[in-house]
Amino acid sequence: MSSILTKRSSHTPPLCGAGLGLRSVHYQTILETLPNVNWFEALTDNYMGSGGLPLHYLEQISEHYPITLHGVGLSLGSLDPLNTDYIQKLKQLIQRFQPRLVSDHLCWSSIDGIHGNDLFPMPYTEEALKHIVERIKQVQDALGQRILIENVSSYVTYQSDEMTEWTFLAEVVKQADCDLLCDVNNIYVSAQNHQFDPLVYLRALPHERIKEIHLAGYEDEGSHLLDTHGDVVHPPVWKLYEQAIEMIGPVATLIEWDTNIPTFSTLQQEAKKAALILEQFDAAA
Amino acid sequence: MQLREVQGLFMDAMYRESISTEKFIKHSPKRSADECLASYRGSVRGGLLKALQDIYPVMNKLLGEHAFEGLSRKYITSNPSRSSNIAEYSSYLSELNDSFADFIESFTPLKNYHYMADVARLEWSWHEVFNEADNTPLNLEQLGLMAPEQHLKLKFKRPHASRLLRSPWPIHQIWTFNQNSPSANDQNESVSLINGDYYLLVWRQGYEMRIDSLSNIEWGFLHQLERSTCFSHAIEQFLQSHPNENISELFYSVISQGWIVDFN
Ligand SMILES: [Fe+2]
Repeated sequence: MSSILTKRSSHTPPLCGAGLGLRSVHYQTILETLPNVNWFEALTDNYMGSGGLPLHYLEQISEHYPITLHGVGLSLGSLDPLNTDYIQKLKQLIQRFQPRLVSDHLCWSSIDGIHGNDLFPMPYTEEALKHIVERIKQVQDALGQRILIENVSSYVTYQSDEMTEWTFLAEVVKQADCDLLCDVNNIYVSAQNHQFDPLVYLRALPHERIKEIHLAGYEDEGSHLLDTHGDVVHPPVWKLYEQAIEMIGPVATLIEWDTNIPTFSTLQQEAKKAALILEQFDAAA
Repeated sequence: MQLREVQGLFMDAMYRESISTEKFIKHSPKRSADECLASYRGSVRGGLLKALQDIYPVMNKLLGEHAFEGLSRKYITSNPSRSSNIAEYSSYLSELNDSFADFIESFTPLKNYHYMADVARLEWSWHEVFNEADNTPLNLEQLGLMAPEQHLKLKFKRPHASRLLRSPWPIHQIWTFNQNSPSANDQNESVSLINGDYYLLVWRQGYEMRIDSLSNIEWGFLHQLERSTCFSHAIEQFLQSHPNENISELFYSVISQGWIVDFN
């Protein structure tokens, strides 16, 4: 499979700078003004329909911008059979839109045919590691390309945990030979909720495999941080992001915003902040 | 504890209230195991509620936000999601779940509001049609090249992105009336709930969503075209219930409206 995995990288320049999550409320603005944005990340699951306006807009936007595909539906850590229909549709989207990156999460979402339609954290055990590694390999084989796995924010830890999340994630990347989408906000949220040092987490990751970073806003609920993707990126996350870039080097960075979606210019301002940090470390390098 | 047991217990806790959380979840420095897990329960149910609000905006308006949320929460706990695609939530996927409309139909507090379930059916059709496969217009040239007797062997098709509906309630008017907030001046306006036979086609012409009111003849004809293996069979069946109809006029009419887009 390695020849397939490296095939595209020889033709396409790597994704760089700051990108924005593509949301339907901004389709018109984007197409009318063709703003200066490095790339757009489309939510895979919103384009799983057979036709209609969402695909029509994505088609037009992809003519002007590089696209990445980010999904929530693979349920990679679940014990239910892999959803082959979903993988087929994903494959069709990949063929149609030629995304620069394809990602999903280090999580599970369903069991015994019942779905949470949410990103549940894995128990960090040897058994779970073996299972999710096998599933990522199967998906990559089916798609004929590497995918990126993103760390999720979490509100629970399990009694059965045998290792830390960062050890588990680093092992997943190594054993499944996949890439990594490092969500810095998620690391910060989980670090606050479970009282660990986010820098220890960042240091433990295989940096050369980090092909994308996510930034988003959380909500402080007092007893815990809730990852709502509904606000600007908060100062401690910007700080952690700077530390991450210093450690990893400049990596394509996405601003995610899913609830209370603001005007397009607010998103651009957030992207600009990320771009400035990236440039600063690019220049230093 | 094995992965299977963890996932089973976790998912149980998403749709039911009381389980032994401490058995598999640790408490955090600031929260009990139950409280930690409740973040996910809130998120799962909140996500499904949001999906229902997005799919059924007219129902939300008819019932009022509060009552709609109450109804939705009852639906969610008795009908867990059965698809990885949240856009499929509230459809009938198997005998294991009710569609939202079927649930409303059997929901006792709404038993005097007979039209509600059909409004939900209309909104579900709209939602499905929105994401359905695109259709190109009917190839009239190709059709014109065929001899009329060949037409009889064809099966004519509606757009993929279309759904036929019928209801004893004026659901189209109810739907239209609830598209925009009535201003203070319109408060006296209302829809008369005249019981009758209402025939609709919810469909997409290109990317434009439409709801067309059909006559019972047009509806019956389209319905028969769908059920029959070929045009001649459809005509035969249709004429049994509508012996005086002029088929060529009717056929020309449904084609010119864009309700037939394909044949094979
Ligand atoms: Fe993310």
